[in-house]
Amino acid sequence: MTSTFEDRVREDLHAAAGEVAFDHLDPASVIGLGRRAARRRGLSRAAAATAVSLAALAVGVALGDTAPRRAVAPVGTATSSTPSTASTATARVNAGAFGSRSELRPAGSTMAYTVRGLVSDGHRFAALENSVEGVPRTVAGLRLDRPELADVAYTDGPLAILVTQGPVDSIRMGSTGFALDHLGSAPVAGTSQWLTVASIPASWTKPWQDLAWTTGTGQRGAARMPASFTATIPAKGGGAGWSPLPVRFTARPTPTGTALVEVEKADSPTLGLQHLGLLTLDPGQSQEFARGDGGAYATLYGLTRSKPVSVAPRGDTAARFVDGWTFTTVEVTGGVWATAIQLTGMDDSSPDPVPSVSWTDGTGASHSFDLP
Amino acid sequence: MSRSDKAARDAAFADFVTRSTPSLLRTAWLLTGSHDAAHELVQGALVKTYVVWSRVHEDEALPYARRILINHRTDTWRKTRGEHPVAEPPERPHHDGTTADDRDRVVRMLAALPDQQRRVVVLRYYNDLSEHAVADLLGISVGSVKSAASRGLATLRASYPTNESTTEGSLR
Repeated sequence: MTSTFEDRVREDLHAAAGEVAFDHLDPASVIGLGRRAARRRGLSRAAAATAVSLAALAVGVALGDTAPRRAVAPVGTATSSTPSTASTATARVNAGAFGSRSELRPAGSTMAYTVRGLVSDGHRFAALENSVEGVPRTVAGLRLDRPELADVAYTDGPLAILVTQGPVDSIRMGSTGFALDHLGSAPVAGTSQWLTVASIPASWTKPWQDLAWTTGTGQRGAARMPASFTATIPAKGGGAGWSPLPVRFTARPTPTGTALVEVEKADSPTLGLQHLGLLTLDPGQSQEFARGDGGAYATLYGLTRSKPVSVAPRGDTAARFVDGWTFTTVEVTGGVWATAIQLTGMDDSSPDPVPSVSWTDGTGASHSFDLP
Repeated sequence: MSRSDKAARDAAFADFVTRSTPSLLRTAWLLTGSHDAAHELVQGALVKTYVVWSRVHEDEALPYARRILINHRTDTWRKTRGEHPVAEPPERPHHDGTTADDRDRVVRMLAALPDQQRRVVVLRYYNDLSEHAVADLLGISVGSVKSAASRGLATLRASYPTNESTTEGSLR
């Protein structure tokens, strides 16, 4: 009897694994850890969503006000443009509440929310809250004087949120798009406005587009949504175990032309997204880069005004990126490209392993950005 | 979600943990070569599975958990800047004896493979997944799966004793 070597490996793997004795894994312990992880994930995602939502609106406030207030911190310098003053945003959520709370239970949904008013930086917001395992969290905030802007938050899936002058009867993705499910509206106490939520199918991967809404009295309107793009950083060859890395860029509309893009990483296309950061690119600013996730600086990401056709992160040693790097870029909003770079073969032995990144656009012009 | 709904969900998940843990632990052990690392890896994957449990269809639960396990490990690799194959063999199984020693040989050889090859070999020849399924799970092309499997098997084959008849079979 002959068998192939594949059969032999298969038999030996099964035999070896079959003879190994493992300690029991207690389901109750796993469930307890899972509950805590779900709570942390919910709080983290809600905090990120709230920060993004409020930061998007804060940018608009800053550029429209005579005394700018930015929710961003200064970082590196760019040699091909004026020095950058914008970077990862950290919105302040030091808001005071006004009015009483309203309960919001979308039809057909298992989720329940609370709507209330918030005052932050002198502006009034409609805040959407819910509770995970008994822990209240703020899902999103929409400025009450910016009803033309809608947003997307994540609870049990993507959720469209908008503010109108009355309860909404139906919402569509665009004027001719499909109707969203699990619709619900609740008044924002202390105002004449209502906050409405509706579920966006989780499988919907096209860029977010305008929401078209209709009230019970026949009033119609539209609100701008963020534009969301999913891209994948290609895998790098070799045996180091690097895999393709899905990322999502979501551009929030701002009334002033500032590009504001949230960056998320997905460990897998189906396993949810991890908020990595928020980048802003002001009018006149040509580029912005920041380090990505983890202490290992596994990624860099940035915004540019022209499309990068090649990128070259500079390491602090000649052999820093001995295994190279890969990148992906997409145009997230008019004339703004978002780029994510996955670095390989890098260790953490240096406190500043990536001093700068260079890139070339389609005209052959070279650009450089010094990372902080 | 009502309290009874949560109780039912948790009961279904507990049953899934009981049923799936042996298979996941063995896969994790082949990937890591360590009992402790395998336990940690499987527990982490199951915790992640719990978080998304309401969105997982029952008959897709084990593949889904396995996908999380593999991606969890990939994520760990990313965060630790890559894992270097160890020169030392992995922990020995709890059972000693000549038969176990012989069979454990392939696991020791497996530990010396590059990570991608090791994952492909484990998924193809222990989990018995098709090339397409492995490609989908790892997010790589079928060609990359074939290449990694071929290289992995070639390395293992070179390490096997040459006087065994089973080494004469051709690689497909």
